[in-house]
Amino acid sequence: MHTHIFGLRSLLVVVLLASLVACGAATPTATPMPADPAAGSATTRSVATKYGPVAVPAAPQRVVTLDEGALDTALALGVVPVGALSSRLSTGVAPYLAARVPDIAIVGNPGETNIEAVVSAAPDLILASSRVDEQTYTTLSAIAPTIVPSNSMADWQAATGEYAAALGRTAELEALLADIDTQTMQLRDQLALKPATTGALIRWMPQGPLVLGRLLPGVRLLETLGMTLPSIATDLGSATPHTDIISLEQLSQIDTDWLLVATFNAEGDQALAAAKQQPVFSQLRASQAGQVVPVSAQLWSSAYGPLAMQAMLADIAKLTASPQ
Amino acid sequence: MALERPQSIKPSSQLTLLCAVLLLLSVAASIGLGAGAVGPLEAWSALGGGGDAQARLVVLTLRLPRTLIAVLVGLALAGGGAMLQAAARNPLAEPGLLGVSAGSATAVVIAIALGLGHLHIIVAIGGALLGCALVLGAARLSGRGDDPVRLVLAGAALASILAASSATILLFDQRTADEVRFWTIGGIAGRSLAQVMPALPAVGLGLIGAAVVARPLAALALGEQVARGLGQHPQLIRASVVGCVALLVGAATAMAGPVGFVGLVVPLAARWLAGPDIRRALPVALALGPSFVLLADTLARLVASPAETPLGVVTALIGAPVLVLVVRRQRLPSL
Amino acid sequence: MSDTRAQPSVLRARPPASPPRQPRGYWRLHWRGLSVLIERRGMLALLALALLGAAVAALSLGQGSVRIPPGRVIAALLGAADAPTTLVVRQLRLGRVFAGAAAGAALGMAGCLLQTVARNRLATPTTLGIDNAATAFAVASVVGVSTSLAPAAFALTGALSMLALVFALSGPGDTRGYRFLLTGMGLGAICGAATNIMLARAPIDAANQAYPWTVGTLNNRAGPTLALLGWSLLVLTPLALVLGAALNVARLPEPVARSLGVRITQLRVGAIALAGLLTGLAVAVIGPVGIIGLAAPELARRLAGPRSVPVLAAGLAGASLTMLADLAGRTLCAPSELPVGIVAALVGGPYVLWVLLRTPQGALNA
Repeated sequence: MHTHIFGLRSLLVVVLLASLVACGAATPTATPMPADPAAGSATTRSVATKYGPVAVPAAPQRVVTLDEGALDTALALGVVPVGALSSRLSTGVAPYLAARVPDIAIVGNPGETNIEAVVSAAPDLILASSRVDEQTYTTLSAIAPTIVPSNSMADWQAATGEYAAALGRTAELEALLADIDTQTMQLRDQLALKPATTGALIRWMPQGPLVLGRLLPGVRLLETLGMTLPSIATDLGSATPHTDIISLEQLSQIDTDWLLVATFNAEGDQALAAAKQQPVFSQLRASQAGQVVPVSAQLWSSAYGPLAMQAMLADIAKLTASPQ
Repeated sequence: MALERPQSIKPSSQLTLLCAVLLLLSVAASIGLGAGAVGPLEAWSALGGGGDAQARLVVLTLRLPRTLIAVLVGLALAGGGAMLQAAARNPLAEPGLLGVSAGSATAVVIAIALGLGHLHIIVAIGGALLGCALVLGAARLSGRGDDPVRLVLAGAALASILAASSATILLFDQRTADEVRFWTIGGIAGRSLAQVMPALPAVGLGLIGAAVVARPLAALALGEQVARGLGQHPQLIRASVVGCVALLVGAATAMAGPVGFVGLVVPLAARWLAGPDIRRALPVALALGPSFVLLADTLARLVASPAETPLGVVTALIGAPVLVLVVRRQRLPSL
Repeated sequence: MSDTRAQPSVLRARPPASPPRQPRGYWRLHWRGLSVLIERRGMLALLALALLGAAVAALSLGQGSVRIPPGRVIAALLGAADAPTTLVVRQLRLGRVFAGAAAGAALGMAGCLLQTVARNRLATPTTLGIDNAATAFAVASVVGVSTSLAPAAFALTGALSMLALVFALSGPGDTRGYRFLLTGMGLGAICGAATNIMLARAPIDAANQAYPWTVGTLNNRAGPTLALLGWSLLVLTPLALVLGAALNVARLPEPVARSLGVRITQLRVGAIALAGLLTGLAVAVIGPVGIIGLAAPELARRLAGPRSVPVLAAGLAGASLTMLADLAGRTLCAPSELPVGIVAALVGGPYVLWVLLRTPQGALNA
């Protein structure tokens, strides 16, 4: 009999919990259900994607981007998306883009997309990442035409080209890219680095540094501007974004003239401060020449696209403007 | 066994020699071996002021501090483990398994998320204290000594709650992700002496406390009644053990993050070498702890060189099979 | 759910001799000379749990990032609502509810079988290290292979091999199930260390993709693995019921059970294999949420009483609890979602502590 009462009591607790959840859920204001996304766009275009041709509206009105490069590209081309994923290690979009999209809905983080949030953003076009698998693609396609590009960050010009095609603005993108090339060349001439100048992009973790490789547009930009990468970076090839955390004893591997340290936020400066506490770090050439430069990791280690390139060029122009 | 000081409290000279040789060897390995190009001979000459500037830099500013940190962590965890096991009369009462380290690390994570990261030593010790109290309370230390698994399961439950709490914090505060990842795995790579200095007083205090409590604790091992008869206060003894363990484990966590299984493997070896009396087992554990952590850390540097393997991963990979082996023995070794 | 399939009690299957009166606490149904005894309390428990499950499922369909009123939910189910609502209800939430119910039911039944076999109420996928193994394997596949089905297949492999290893290593003669538990925890710690190495060394994108496998989530889990779990449940549930009934006899002291003709060894091996399969399939869908396998049988035992091994009740309880945890995770701090695994650990962990705290010594045997 005793246990029987216990049973009833625990059932009661569960039921109570359930009703609590129901009440808790009822209090926040109900989001209005979005209108039918199919309405509005009369004509469609066909765009080639990783999973075959997709019919997209001729002039998409509500774009949701599930890739940092897609968000960058759309904004560069004058399309303001209504929803996007948060940037790595932050709760909003990357800082260099945040001012352009103050009201954007965050529909997930780089690890997980919240599909219901995508639905409530009522998109008529979804620009997804090249990493999206077929199952997720099918789900997303049920919401709106979904573009999964065949190219990724490794060939960022091609990937942004695919997004631009989906937005119907290929010509604008080509003009932009050409413009960026010109700016890059100008900056290179302006810098006029000595032939053997070396440089590396690293992140400083609590356990030590890791070195970023050529997969990242920022690292390739450094090369274009005339810096030679250390072999630990070039050995990564163009498929791996970064090395493991390397031992402090191996710091000589990143003994370069310029050292760009990507940090994720203001607290990242703490990481840099911790690095500077290490005597081996202060022995580095870049350290002694005062050429250790903190840069935004959201920009330099995960973003790509026309706006990202322009922001990175501006970063470099800024650091060389100050006396070396 | 009578409580008047028998000659057996003094470790035999062979045992002392063994511990000393082991410690010397592991210190030598820790200073001589690393991911860098500096070899053992060069390292030793650099230590004496010879060698080139690069070698001196590596040895004096990297390997020497790291060796020192490993020694401190080893002392703290082995001491904490030995005390906890004696007090709980449970061979499996280990700070890592019981969730004490996890409690400490989670407290630090919360502090970082609240912007109080600079207080991390105090927070780590506080977290360890809470973890200790909670898990020992859950298993009701007194009278449950012959049910070793209950304690471990309580620890596992606590650790899973704490892991979920860390994950929740990460969900709402992504900024701290790198730090949080460090505080959930543990390692001493990249730690500078300046970062660990604040933990030093806590280790000292904890060890002094352990030395003082060891004798009454040995009395408690004879049973509550006997201890009372000998004029001891069991509750007071347990409370002081919890205090010492919190100081030691909190300090170790503040230095190296949650490093598990040191407090299991080392006291186990100590009891095997010196017998179950805490007065003999504690010094042996304190002598062996640094060696174990030093060797594990040297391995952590070499396994994936030039990359670092987290120390907590290496100790788990060594310690977990030991746990399985202990459990496979017919009877769980009792204290 | 098939709540009509109440187990007739095996021990009392023999009809009483002269006056056909049911024992206390039983209902007797008869139909043309056939009569079946149904245990009253067990039956009531099943009904209550089925109702609870249905209620939570209904709630889950309406709540989430977007709140949909009940009328619209029904309209959407019938296909009469606007396209986005229909999409949310029928594709996303129905799939999610089904995934939660199926995985929870599998974990609940597996937990019930495991605890009975190990004779310890704390033998669960989590404490046996099965969760850790599944996670380690899934993370390995995300970091290494990375196709859409591979992580689930790897998680299944990891869970099964871990269970086999734990039983093989803990050996015979383990009366209270303790060696079993500790071996599982030790092996689980090794897998945990392996996961940590992989996450520490993987590129950040791969680590991000592995994230759902480290916490346990029901977000976007529909797919071939879920279908596999659904079909398997259809086959495995009756099997689990049969085994549960047989295990009921095996709960007697071993010599007694043997004298009743129970082949204990075969029975145990069968139950463990079945529990492993159920756990593996569930973990392959939902990730490491094994604590359900502890809580569900506990709730089922509380409700159904000690007369039988409540396999079906544990399944129903598991389904309800999983859906409830997911619902709480989706709504309590909306618009953010707490993964179901985190909710389960935050609620289930204290529950384990509570069980340990208030259970007198030696009473943890299932």
